[in-house]
Amino acid sequence: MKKLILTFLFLITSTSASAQLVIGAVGEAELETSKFQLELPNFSGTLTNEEKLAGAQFISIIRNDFAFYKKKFNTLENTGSDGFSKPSMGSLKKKKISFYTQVKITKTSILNYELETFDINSGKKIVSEKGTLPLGKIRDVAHEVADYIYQSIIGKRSIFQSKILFVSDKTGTRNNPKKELYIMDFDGNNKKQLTFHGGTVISPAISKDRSRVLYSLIRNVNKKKKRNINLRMLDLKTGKDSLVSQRKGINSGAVFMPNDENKIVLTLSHTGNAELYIMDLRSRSLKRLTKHYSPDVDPSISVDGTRMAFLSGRPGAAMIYTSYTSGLEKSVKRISFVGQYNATPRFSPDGREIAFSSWLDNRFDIFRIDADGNNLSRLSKDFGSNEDPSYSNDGQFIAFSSQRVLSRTKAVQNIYIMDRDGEILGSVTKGFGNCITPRWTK
Amino acid sequence: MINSYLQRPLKYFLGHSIFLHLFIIALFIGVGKLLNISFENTRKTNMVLVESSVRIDMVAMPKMTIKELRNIKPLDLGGETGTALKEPPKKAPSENTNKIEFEKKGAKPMSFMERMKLLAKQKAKAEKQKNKGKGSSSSQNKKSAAERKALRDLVLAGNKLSKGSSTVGSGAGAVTAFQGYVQQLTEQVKQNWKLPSYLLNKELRCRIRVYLGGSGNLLRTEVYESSGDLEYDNKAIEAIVNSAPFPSLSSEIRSRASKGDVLLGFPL
Repeated sequence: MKKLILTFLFLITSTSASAQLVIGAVGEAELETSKFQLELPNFSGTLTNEEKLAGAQFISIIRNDFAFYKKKFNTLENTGSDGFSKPSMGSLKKKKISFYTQVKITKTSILNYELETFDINSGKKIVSEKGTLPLGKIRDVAHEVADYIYQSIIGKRSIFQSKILFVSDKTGTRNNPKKELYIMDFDGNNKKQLTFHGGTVISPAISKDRSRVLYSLIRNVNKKKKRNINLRMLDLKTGKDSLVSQRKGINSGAVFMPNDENKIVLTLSHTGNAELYIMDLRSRSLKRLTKHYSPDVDPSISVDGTRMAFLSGRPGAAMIYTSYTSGLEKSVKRISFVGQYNATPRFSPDGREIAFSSWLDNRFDIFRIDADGNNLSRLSKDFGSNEDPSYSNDGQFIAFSSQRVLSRTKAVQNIYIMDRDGEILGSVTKGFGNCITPRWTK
Repeated sequence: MINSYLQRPLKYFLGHSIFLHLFIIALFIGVGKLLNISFENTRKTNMVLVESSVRIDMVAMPKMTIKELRNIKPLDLGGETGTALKEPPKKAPSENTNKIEFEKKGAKPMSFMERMKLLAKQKAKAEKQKNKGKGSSSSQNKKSAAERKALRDLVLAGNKLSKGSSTVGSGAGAVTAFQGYVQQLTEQVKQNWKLPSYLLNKELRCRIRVYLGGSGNLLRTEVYESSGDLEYDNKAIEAIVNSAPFPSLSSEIRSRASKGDVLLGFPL
């Protein structure tokens, strides 16, 4: 009997022991945050206090730039420089630091910088840069250098040299509201006013080479007849501001074709219904893209210029559609099927996803959807009313405008940046009037 | 000949006529029935075809952000999984795309609305406690734990997948409790699976064998297939260690987990 029980037990254990291993696939790894140490500058020569401050600012701008990529880099506070010589790799490795940058600032007749970045794990010097540091251009040089370091590490362009176009009512008053166009660095510095119409500027767009800006203007005139929404173009190099389209009704929502910047896509309503057209800026000829009895507005073009996302009232509510720019109503596909009111669909630079704002719980919030209609996800929540998303040039960040209600009659709007997963990095405008409609340069 | 017929009594003709008419009627009914059956069959096959080709997605704007969904995941795995996995054949999520779902509300022990109400009540209670300013830290912890459980139940109720009436099977129903557990474990490890840039694009691969205790605690790990790069293997083990503890195991899968039947592939 005992034997029988033993064999029985043996049988049970042997069968369960022979049960197969269950394999779980963890998938591709994400990039680990690398520790990035940026030393304070090493000064040589007799520098004034102002010049020393400029040198410190140079470093702090680079550090601030890298702080935007906080999922990739953990920028460390400086520990005090030990001179401008090859760092001891051993001790840095012990501190688990992956990248180390040191800067030397010298003065001849003008300030010069010398910068080196080391990859501690491979022990190689990956950046060695020299250049001048004019006092008025510290920001530009710092962003350029930061971008160079970023490219040497990651192998792709960063956002550090990008700019954001936006509209602010800063110059207006309560009785004389004005909304003018401005441009700033991606981090909110270097704000510059571009238009001086004294009217209301809406839906701006900037060309990829940053030489031209499109915007629509509603003039502050009393005569209703003259209050048309006209499309204008500003050449940033020559400063020439010209009228592009003043057809009856809406002439707005214009964007440059990314692959051919002599062509623009815009919304026109001169036929009685808002439709999308391609306009050749040289001949001013029109090619119609949509034809439907419901309004089609807000075009966004993918970087290769082949696909277009737009907003249409076809299903009875404002929904996102995509089509091809090669012809009239070419392969029109409905992308969104939910949302009380969707607005401002914007393609990501790789064309894989579309960010848009949608009305939910009595406010607008930013959402993201794959260009094929999958993976609808919410990005912002409990953060005021959020509108007008705009992807950064590398697709990692989204700029948007957020409105805070302060009292029954007062609200303030500012431009914020979040990463593409909805992690908010902070506001880039503050105390500059109400800032809306951010457009990130590509 | 005709005469002989004519001489027959009326009863004879009546009988024949009734028989003939009844026969014809029966024939009609019979043929009709046969036709009806064949129509019915076609209809049924058509319905099956429609069922297998139509997919109904009921979607609303997502209320939760990506961040919130990521944060709720480990909480979601907290312990409910044990009970959820005990009844795998009935409630195993069917991953077929071809399905029509009809949810039976009566079958649920507690409806979605009831759960919502419960959650709201608990929240109100917690707020009252706060206003009183008396609640000791331990009781508050209990409260929040209960709240979390209620929220978890709610989330599970909302995300429940019914089996559907799929006509094409992918064998999703055959997922065992253990396989389901490994799947969740994988998801948890995925959150911590990170590599420095210099290891990211090397296309390395390793497999780690994982031994688990009954409460989901990590007993030990073992490199089953090495990538050839020691640092890569260590990073994979680090990801597992950082993800522990895992959800507690139900009694039937406990022995397999402790014997190290779990193998995690990085990336496959």
